[in-house]
Amino acid sequence: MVVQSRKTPAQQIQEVLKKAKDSGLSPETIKKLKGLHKVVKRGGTVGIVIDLIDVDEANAGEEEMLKLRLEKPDACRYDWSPYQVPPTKSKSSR
Amino acid sequence: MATPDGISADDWERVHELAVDIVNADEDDSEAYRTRLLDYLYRLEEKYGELPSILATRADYINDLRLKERLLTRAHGLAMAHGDDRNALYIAHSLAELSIEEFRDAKEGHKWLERVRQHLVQIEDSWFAAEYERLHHAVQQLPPK
Repeated sequence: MVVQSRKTPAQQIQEVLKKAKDSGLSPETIKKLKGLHKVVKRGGTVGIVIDLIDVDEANAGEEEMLKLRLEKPDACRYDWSPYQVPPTKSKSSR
Repeated sequence: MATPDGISADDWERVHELAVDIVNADEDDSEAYRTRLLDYLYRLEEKYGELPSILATRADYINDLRLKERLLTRAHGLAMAHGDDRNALYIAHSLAELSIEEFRDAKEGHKWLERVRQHLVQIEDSWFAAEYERLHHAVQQLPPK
């Protein structure tokens, strides 16, 4: 497998990923490449300005995550807090 | 560059470095780097709060499939709430893949694939468009629940 460097662009990782799948590399290796691919994709974008929040969407899954905090405290070692950007406008006021 | 949800380029660079180390290391070292990455993501969460990039990346590197699903679902909700279409696409793809390839759940697979399709209208990305086609074919092979 091609050793990845910090300069490897997403497109090259995609090619390696395709070759890895075609050549039957282990699922574990493919999983690592997929993880790296998404990390690179996330870092390769410009920041967006966040000024509108849909409060219902922002709260989606919160109850589930609170349950998770109780069930698996190791998964939530940080101080679990709501999203830090305060809601300014809801969709209905757009 | 920063992530779409505002993590600085410098902070994300460390995530990138560790993800590269995980790929390049042998099995034992890879596990150690994975632990380091998860620890670093917790530190980022302390600094930035609960962001889609952090939750979804953690989900990509943990082994517990149900926990992965919950983290991704939460991350997708946050990305949608903040109009972060790029993260929403990546996360919907992870959820579609998880539903189809791990849980073999056709109903959930169709649901998340439809989200992927909708996000692709906003975000042009040939890799994810090809992935949509691949997963769409795969979900057709699953028995209905």
